[in-house]
Amino acid sequence: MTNEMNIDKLSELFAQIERAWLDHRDRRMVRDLSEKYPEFRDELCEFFEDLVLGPGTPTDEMAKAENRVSEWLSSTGLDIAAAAVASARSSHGTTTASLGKQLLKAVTPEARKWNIQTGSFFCENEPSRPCPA
Amino acid sequence: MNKRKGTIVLNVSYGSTRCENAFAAFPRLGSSEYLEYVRTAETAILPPEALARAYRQLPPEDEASAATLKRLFRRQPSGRWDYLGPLVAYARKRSNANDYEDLLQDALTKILQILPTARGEFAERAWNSFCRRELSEAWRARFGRRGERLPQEDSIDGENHHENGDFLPRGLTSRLSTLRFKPNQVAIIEEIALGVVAELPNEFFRTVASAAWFQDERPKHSGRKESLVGKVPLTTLFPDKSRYQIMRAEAYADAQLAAALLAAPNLELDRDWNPVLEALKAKAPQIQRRARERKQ
Repeated sequence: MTNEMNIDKLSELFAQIERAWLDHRDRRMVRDLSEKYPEFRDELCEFFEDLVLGPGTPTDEMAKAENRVSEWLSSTGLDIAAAAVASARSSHGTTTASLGKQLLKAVTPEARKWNIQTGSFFCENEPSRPCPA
Repeated sequence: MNKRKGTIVLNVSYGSTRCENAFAAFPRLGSSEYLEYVRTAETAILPPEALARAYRQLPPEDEASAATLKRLFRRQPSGRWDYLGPLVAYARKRSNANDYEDLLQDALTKILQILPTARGEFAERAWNSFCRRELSEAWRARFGRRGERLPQEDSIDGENHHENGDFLPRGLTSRLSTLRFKPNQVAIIEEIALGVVAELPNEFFRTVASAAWFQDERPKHSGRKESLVGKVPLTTLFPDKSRYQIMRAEAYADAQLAAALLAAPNLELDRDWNPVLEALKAKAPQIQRRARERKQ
């Protein structure tokens, strides 16, 4: 349980570092967070290194392995993704796409209004909330 | 804003104007223009978070869904991944040559499986952090939470080990002197490097960085003091630090330097800079993996 919490906490810290660097070229966030969370210092610094420097040049063995992984992704990736979507649908219907389908059924045509500017439908009684077509 | 055919929206907080703007710049999801855009737009203007968001909104059976996914996982003929660079860097460090492919494949499988679920929303905010989280999960599933199922480590004297300081690239200063710069750039670079050193968290980091950048050669991390001519290994300077800690400090300092150079408004980086950044990238990722394994 603690490990799960650590991964989630760490992921949130990574996200802060990532957004700071990619959106604002801010390289101080990693230092600030390392000071605030010294127990995660190594992980945070290492993440920042990977983010900025990337993977570098692989060994021959690794390059060959990545070729095979890339081919595997091309041949199998879509099937895995499709199975995942089907699984998500059958459990909770939690995907955005599936939620969209639910909304499509739930909203009656007279309850929505076309917004020409955005090219989308909005509920008349809730103008700020987009509705499905 | 939602661009799905027909339109629907989830109330998700994105937080990144850059990603939000990139998403807003998409042609209508699923349209032929969208397909063309996703296939051809430059990576720099197409953040993975926007692609992940589009993918999660598109109907899974739609051609655009497949095209979006392919783009997210695209690898150039040169071997460069459009959006998986940091993940690949991490996977290389966390695995041996024998299990690298399996670990990478496990991580990508998890990413594909999680992306359409509620937990996949994280990918819309911070793609690299999302990928790293899933790789960590894959690593734990394969090797155990504390690495108890890790295979026996290769001998430290094995032919592929990179822990010898001699393997590391020459010092940054000598590296820079071989490149062509505009007249004022060397001074700017040195100033930036000095500034980065000053900002490093403590004397240990500052000394390691200074030794790495301002000497003619990269420093020895460890070794017998008497066998070295004119060079004192850093483990001698810092007897309470292991060579792993020294290498970690050096890697962190290099990352800070690269970040500072990339973010510097008064530097114009061109192709001449590739060797510099490559030199920074090339250093000892395997060492960090070993250090991590030792820690666990």
